[in-house]
Order: sequence, then structure tokens, then C-alpha cells
Amino acid sequence: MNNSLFEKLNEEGHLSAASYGKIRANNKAALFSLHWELTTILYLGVLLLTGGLSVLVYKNIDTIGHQAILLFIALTCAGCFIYCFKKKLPFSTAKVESPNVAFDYVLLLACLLFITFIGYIQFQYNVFGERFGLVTFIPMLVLFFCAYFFDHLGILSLAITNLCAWAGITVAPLEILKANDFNSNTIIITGILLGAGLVCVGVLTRINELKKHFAFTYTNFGMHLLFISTLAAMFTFENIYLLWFVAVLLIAAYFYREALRAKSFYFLLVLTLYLYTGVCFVVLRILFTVIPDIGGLYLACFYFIGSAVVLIRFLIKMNKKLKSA
Amino acid sequence: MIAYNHSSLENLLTRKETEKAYRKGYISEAEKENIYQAYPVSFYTPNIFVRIGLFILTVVIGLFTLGLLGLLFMNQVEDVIGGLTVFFGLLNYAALEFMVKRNHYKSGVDDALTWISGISIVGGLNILTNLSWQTNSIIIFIVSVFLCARFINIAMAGVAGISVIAFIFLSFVRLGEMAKALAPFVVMITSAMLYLFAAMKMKDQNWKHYGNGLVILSIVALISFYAGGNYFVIREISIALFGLRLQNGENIPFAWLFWLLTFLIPVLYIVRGIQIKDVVFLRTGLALTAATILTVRYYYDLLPLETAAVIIGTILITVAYVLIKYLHEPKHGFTYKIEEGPNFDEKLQVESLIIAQTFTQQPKPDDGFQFGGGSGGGAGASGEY
Repeated sequence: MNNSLFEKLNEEGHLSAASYGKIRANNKAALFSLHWELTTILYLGVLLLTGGLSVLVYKNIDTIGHQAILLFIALTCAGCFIYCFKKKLPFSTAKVESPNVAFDYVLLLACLLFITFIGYIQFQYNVFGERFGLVTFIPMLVLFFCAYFFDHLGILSLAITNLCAWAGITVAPLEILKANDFNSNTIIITGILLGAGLVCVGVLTRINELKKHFAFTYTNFGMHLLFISTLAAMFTFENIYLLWFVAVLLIAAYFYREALRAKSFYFLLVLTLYLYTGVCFVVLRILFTVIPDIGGLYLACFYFIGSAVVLIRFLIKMNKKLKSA
Repeated sequence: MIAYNHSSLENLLTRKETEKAYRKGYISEAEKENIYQAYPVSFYTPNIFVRIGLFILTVVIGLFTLGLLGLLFMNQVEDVIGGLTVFFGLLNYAALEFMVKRNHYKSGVDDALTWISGISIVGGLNILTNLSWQTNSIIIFIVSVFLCARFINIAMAGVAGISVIAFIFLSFVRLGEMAKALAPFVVMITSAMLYLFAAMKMKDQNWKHYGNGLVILSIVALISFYAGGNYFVIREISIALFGLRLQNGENIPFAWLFWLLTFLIPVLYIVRGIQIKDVVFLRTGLALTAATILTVRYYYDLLPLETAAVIIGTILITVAYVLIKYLHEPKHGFTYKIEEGPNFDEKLQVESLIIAQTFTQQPKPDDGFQFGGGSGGGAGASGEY
């Protein structure tokens, strides 16, 4: 920190002598934190090791044999879980800190190995037969249990992803448009139900104070899923798209209230952008049905410029409102 | 030179330092409030998410204004599009000056207008006439230096650094065969000078508002210094740009020297970073170590990929684990603890999303997730509160 600046502040009387002394002492003995660097190295190491091992196993499957591999995975997985059970701090419905740095990673490794194990025995021995649902359902239960029992946000995200896979879709927002064929009605409806469910769980989590810090993860997943599904419904079911637009409006209204309550700029931005997409779709559709020639194009340009200006004013106003709230 | 209100900029610096001291718990809330009262800032700078929103919306406005201009000249659009784009860039610049006068500072609006005006002016000139790479780099340099100087845009500082190195490289290699052979060293010398320039100005009180821009500039300089001596870069550029033809088993001149530099520079960066406790050196060195490993792997199949991954992964975990244990109590001025507390929750949220994203995106050839339309993707909203 800038010593001369605080010296000036001290002389102007904005800073007590004690505070100024603290700052000067700190500047002499400033510590250099390597937290970010070391955590990144650790994370990269885990990523490379697990990735490399799984490919290695895959390539040498003829020589190692399935039982040996399964045994190895099971033993490592069990070992990791035993470590976690031994080291963990007592369970609480509030947030529990992890006992040491390695803990989170060991738990992650245990859960990933467990998923691999279940997938492996299904793939190789067809243990669950045609009941594919079970293959995701069992890891999902384990993941949810671990997320709550050991208090791990990353595992919770994995569990929710697994829940969605179980429900027949994947929810990574990056992947959602690539991986899924949104022309299927059932997928859209499933997405909406799942999204609504997740949002509800988020609310219950908050109200019941059961791992309150999990609420954001639920709500975030639910929000993206709800918006993407309803917008997809709007684009797909063309004859009743206005009806779906009303649904988008209602969802946006709900998250507007949530954003105000939680003072969350993030929710505000997300809902604004999704809502804007929906509104633009409706406006352009009507515009080009009414004026299908070049005039429509001009009007569309004016519409985009005008609407963006309006939205900018809205965001600026909301920024003030959330700040002062 | 700076377009923003000067006293507000000054006061903002004071506020930032105060905020830092407050977060570390050295000064009380009352003192902080007191200082904030005494150092008013008239800027409009919204929350980061609002800023992202304003940025996107400003780009939308810009694009459709350009579309509207194009529509107006629809019949002869091919003749006028170049001039139109330059005009559009100037229009954006005027808008930028106007918004800055209205105290927009890092609001998303001024960021977007800076980028749009820079890109449209350079792009428009390119449509108007056929510009060489060399001319382009000097134009980009002038535009980015101006925008950086006037609007303290940190990314523009990086663009300026890249374009000046490109300009010197492109001008130098025109001098003949000898120059081509010496080009790597010219790039390295230019980068070194650029770094020294940034390091010198960082200490200069007159340049204090450009602090972050200078950090970006020094990162660019460090990376291009490495690239100038990197075996892969030199070999591939010699083949692609200078038409070098290598027979089987033949190598580029002075290969040993460039291999040496490829290995040595990241190590030197890391050592230097630890020596002077400099984050820029340290992190750049760590990232470039990965680049060196990739360079080696590109030419030599020493080990199969998966074996290499297992070995490197094990080494990384061990190193990290040992260091974390070692730094449990601060030693030699280093600590494993996070410097400041408050943002911890946010970081945790982001971290969890990254985990879900990367771990589930891995190819898992040995388990059979082939059902229900799901490919086992991960979670990845880019968000926190």
C-alpha cells in the first residue's frame, strides 16, 4: 500500500495514529500470498492425473483385465471415502469448513471414481440391464449425500448435473444448445419442470436454513434451465408462442423480485438478457408479418437501437435501486 | 490527455487504497466513511454485471446503427462501405467523448464505445485501401496508444504492445536474409525494452493512472520475449513466413540455442518472481512452463500422452502438497493464506462451477454414459452473486 498517501490522510486528520501505525507496520512485513498459484497447480495435477489414469486403463484393458481395474477403482474410491469420513468435521446444517486443503480434492476424487465405477460395471457387465435410469440415479443419490454430508459446493453442482442427466437432459449452459435437440417437446417440458423444481429447492434451502449457502447453486441452475426451456418452447411451438412469452414474462417477474430481495446484480443481468431475447423474438415476428418489405428492416433497426437505449436506462436505474436498497 | 475528470480519478485512487486497508482491517469503518466523504468521486461506475449488460447493449446499438447506415446507402453499398465504417468509427468516438463528459467511467458504455470506434476506424481503412501488415500494425499502434492514453483502457495497452512488436518485426525482416536470421533477437530486445519501459513507468507518479495498463503491457512483453526465443515459434514462422524448407532430419540454424531459451526463460521468470515477489513474473513463468512442455511434446514423442499426464500430474500434486504444508506457517515472507477475506464466498461459487465444468467434460472412454440424450456435460454458468 502507498505509504505517502496514508501519511497525507493522517496529516489531514482522516486517519487515527493507531490506524496509520498499523498500515506502516504491515507495509514493512507484507506477506506474499501463493494461494492462487498453489491451488491452481494442485487442481491441474488432479485433472492430469485422473485424466491420464483413465486413458491408461482404457488402453491397457486387454492386459490388465476388467476385474483388476474394477478392484483398483473400488479400492481407491473406498480409500478416499474412508479418509473423508475420518477427517471430516462434525455435520451441521450451517456451513462447515473443510478440515484441510487436500480434503476437498480427495472427496472430489472419491465421487468421480464412484461414478466411473458404476458406469464401468454397467458398461462391462450390464448389471442394471435396460434400466439405464438407475445408472445415473445411484450416483446422483451418492453425490447429493456427499454434497450435504461433507459440505462441498462442487459436488453439489455435479449432483445437480447428474439429476438433469437422469431426467434426460444435460444442463451445462455452454453445452445446452450444442448437445440437445430442442425440437423434442418432452425435453422442453422436462426442462421447465426441473428448472421450477430446482428454484423451489433453492427457496426451501434458504427458508429452512439447511445448508443455506447451497441456495445460490440451486437457484442459478434452475433459472438458466427455466429461461432456456421456455424460450426454446417459444421458438418451437410457433402457433402458441405468445402464450409461452407470457410464461417468460412471469418467470422474469419472479426473478426480478428475487434480484431485488437478494440485491443480486447477477440475477438482474441474466433475467434482462433472457427477457430481451424473448421480447425481440416477439417484436420481430410481428413486425415482419405486418410489414414484410424493406420498411420492416428499417423499423427493425430503429427498434433495436431504441430498445437497447431503453434497456440501458433501465439497467442504470436498477443499479441505483439495488445499491441503495 | 486523460479524458476523465482529473480530481475524480485522483480521489478514486485514494478510495481504492482506503478500501484495501479497510478490508485488511487496518482502519475502522468510520475512518473509511470519513475519507470517502472527503474524497468525492463523480464517476458513474455500476456493478460489474450491470457493466457487462451495458457493454452488450451498447454493442447492439452500434451494430444496428451501422446496419441503418448501410440500409440508407443500400444501392451503392459496396462503394461507400469503407468510408461509411470510418465515419461510423468517428461517430462512435464523438459519442465516447460525450459519454465521458457525462461522467461515465468504466460503465460498460465507454468500454464498448472505445472498442467499437477503434475497430471500425482500423477496419474501415482496410476496406478502403489494401493495407500491408506493416502499415496495419502501425495504424493499430497509433489508434490503440491514443485510446489507451485518453481513456485509460487497459486492454488497449496490451494491443499497443503487440502492435509495436509486430511493426518492428515486420519492418526488420524486410531488410534481407541476414535480418531474418536475427529477427528473433530483435523481437527479444524490443520486448525487453518494452518491459523495462513498463517497469520504469510503474514507479513514476505521473503515470499512476495507467498502473493496470502497464501491468498488461509488461505481461505482453514477457510473453513475447519468451515467444521470440521459443523453438516452436521460430521454426514455424521460418517455414510459414520465410519459406524455409527443412529436409527430413534437418533442423533450423542455432536450434540448440532456441531450445535452451525455451527451457531457461520460464525458469528465470519463476525464480525472478519469487526473488522480487512479483506476481506478474511468477504467473507468467508458470503459464509459460506449460508452453514449454507443449513445445517439447510437439516435436518429441518422449512418452505417450497419458503416461506424461500421469507423471506430470503426480509431480504437480506433490509439489503443491509439499509447498502448502511448508507454507502452513508463513516463511520467508510467503504464505499460503489468502490475502483478503471478504470475497472468499464468491470465489468458492466460481470454483464449484469450474469443477463441474471441467471434470465432467473430460472424455471418459471407460464408462458407458450412452443413454437418455445426455452426454454427461457439466455445469458452467459464468456466475456468482
